[in-house]
Amino acid sequence: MRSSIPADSEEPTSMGCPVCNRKIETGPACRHCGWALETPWWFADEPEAEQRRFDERLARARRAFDAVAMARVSPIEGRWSRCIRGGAPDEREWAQAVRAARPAQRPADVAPQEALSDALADLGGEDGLTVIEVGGQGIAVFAVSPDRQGALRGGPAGAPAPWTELLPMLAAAPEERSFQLAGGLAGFDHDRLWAALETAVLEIAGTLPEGPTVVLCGVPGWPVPERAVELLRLNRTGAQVVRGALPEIGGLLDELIAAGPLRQAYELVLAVVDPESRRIGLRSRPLFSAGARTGDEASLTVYCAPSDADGTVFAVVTWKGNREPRPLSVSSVKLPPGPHQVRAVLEAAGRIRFLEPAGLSPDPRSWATLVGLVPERYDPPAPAVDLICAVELAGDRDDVEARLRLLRGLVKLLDGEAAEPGRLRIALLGYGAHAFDSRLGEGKVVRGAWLAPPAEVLGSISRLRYAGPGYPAAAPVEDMLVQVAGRWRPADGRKAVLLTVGGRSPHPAEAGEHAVHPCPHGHDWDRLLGRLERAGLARVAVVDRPQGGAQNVWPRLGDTALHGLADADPRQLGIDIGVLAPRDSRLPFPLPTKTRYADEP
Amino acid sequence: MNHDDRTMRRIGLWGAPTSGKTSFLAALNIAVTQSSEEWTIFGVDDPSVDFLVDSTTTLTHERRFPPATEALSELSWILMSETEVEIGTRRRKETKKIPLELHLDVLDAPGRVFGHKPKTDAHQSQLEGLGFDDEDEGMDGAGGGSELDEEKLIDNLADCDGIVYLFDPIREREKGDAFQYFQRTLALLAKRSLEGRRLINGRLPHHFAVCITKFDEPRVYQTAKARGYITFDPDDKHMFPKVHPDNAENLFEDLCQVASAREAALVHGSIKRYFRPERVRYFATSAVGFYLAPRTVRFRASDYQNVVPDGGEGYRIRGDIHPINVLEPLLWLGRQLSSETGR
Repeated sequence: MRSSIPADSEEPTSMGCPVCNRKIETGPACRHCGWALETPWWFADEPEAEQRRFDERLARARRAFDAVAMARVSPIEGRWSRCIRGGAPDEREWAQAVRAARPAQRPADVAPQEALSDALADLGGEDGLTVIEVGGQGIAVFAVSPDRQGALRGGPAGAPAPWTELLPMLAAAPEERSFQLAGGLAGFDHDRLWAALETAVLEIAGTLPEGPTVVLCGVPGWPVPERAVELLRLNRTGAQVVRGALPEIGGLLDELIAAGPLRQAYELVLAVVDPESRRIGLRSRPLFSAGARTGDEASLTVYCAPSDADGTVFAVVTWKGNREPRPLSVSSVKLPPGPHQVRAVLEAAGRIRFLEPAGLSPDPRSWATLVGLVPERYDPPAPAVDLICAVELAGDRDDVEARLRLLRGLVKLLDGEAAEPGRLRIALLGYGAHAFDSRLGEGKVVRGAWLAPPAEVLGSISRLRYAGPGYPAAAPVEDMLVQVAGRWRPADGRKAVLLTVGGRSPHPAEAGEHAVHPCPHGHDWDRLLGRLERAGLARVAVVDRPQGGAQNVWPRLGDTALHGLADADPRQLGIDIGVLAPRDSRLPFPLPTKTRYADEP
Repeated sequence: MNHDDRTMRRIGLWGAPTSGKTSFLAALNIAVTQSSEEWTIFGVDDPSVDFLVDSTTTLTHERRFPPATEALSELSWILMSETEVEIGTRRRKETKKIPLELHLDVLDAPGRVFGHKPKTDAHQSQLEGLGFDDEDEGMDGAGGGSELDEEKLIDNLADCDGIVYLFDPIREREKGDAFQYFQRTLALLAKRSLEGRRLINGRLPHHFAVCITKFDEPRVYQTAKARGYITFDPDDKHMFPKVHPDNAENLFEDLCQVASAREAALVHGSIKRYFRPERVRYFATSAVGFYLAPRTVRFRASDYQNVVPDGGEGYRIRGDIHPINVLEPLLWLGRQLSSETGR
């Protein structure tokens, strides 16, 4: 039901007030402008003079009436406007007009910016805000509503309606039209004018969505706009009316929205691993909580598990209820596994910029694709690994080169993907061949470097030299094991793995019926290996070719994994060793931990 | 014969290809040098001297096995020493030292002469597949020796007073062809001796020293050890293991049992059949001996192999050479022959 403003009079007369042209109602004076409509009869002594004084009084009243309207439009230059009937008012008259033109101050009035800001802040999750600007040019409507991520977006709701369209009877000339809007309505039939205004305003109001409304009156005290404001107030439940000088409302709304607090938390998507079942679930942790403001910065530390070639995904979402995440920002970067600092700045509502990690770029994959990449279970790589690489340097030259090439590839890969300081240490032991020549002596058959960061080990590998064909049926694996057993000590929290890359089995401890010469140092590979096995040393091996025989140590050296040299792949070795994650265990999303791997709920 | 006369006896060195004849000869020079008894060895001509020097150098300095020599049968050496012989009557016996000279010939130059003749080309190709062509004598091609070679060999064997027969148990274990090399030659030799009325009670007159070679090889040494045949000479500062001659025949038998073709046992039977038992003796020999680690004096059973694969097809020698029972068979033959002379 529409509400309308009562007409000037329930029973209008055909005549209007000579000053304001409002309909004359019963009473001694015009209730709009105060012009005395009725005076007692008297006999004029000098009728001409009396007539002249009356005319002058009417002219002054009209001038004063129009001056007030003109003072609303322009409190300085308006004095000389031609719109003022009876010519320019004198100073006193103008001063009075200017005073009269000032809108009444209401204690509850707030500045438009403040009112809009409050109104935006008060919006609920799904609410929108209608802002109606009633000004000197016409009526403009702005709509503010939440986008898919819950961020407010504002803008004009259609083209503004100028007064020339709303009230075609108004003057075409801007100055005169402003004068009319500000109250210079003596030339109008008010009933018709108000009826036309009501029709136009209600038509606008009828197109607007329900919900909170702020009506802004940019020309306080101007009768026509004020009447439009009042019509809107009456027809928009709970509409808040705010008066005052207005900036450009579209821009103001953008600023206020941008500067306003987040209405919903922005959360970073993380993979959480159940410590018992190792099953993976996606969760999110607030990066920016509701109430955060533009310019706020947030940081947290996550652990990036090994990822695929597309890297780790940093996805910021909002939640619709508790069921459906709405991606706000999805970007990814290839990072080395390990803890990483995430720093982001809230640039605006709905706009986040990551300061860290560097190199993030938008990820074009769909959300469903990303979620589909999450493995069912996650078995984390070992937190810290001591890798002892033992490589046989004797035998066929091509075989030795292939072994070294494999090791080099492995160490490079691990250096790149397990670069977390201290996580991986590598020892390198190259073993050649027993000389079995009493004149030469046995000398050192094992050379290398003990545990060091991967990058240093690359240099050590380059210093290993081919040791010739060597002894055909055996290699000093046992001497290598002596070095391992003598140097390696189990350490809490560090997995230890012996990776042996070679072709031949060890020399037996003692001569037996087999033709293979015993180790000239008398080392017993079986006993040494047993000791290392009991101490918990994991074992991965790459052997040139499968072999058998009593001294076939390779199944034990390759207890965790045994590969043929031709098929050995550095990445698979890295997985076997426990430094790299298996392909089906790579995580596209970071883990919510700093230093541990998986199991924080 | 006057005891003051020099006794020149002819010894033939016989064995299948790769049975170690070249190494035996090379080691013999070292064994002579290391012997506590006063032996000397001479080449009868320059090539024989050169062979002895070269092969010994190869063995000791280069620590490699001397390469097979095609002209081995054309070489001869004389071993000189003294030996004691009993003289006098049955009531009054005395011993007297007499000079001993052994003329040592290699009888098998083309090793295949000892083998039986292949009957068909197909058979020949099969034999080649079994490794007949990869032996150390550098044979010149197709098939066994000619009838002329065989005739010559039988002549040479018949002319010998004693024979050193090298039996390679490792080759036998892998190829099992000893009997092939043995039976025909022995039958022809018996026939020749019969014709020359040299048979003694139906047996060949030769003294026969059977040398089980490669005693240092684990399979031979371990067999001897497992059977309890190992003894040690208290006078040997290195305490190298040895097989007492009384047990050597048993070792030979045991090794024949594990040979792949099991024809080796027939060799043992043939020896028993063709030779007089008192004229046969077995020796466990090794040209290079056991390994002695630097700065150690005594043999270590845990690490004794002195032959090492060289990474290619061949072998090399790991440490010093300590020939075992290389000179002893000749010494035994010399004494046997001298005793025979003395009687």
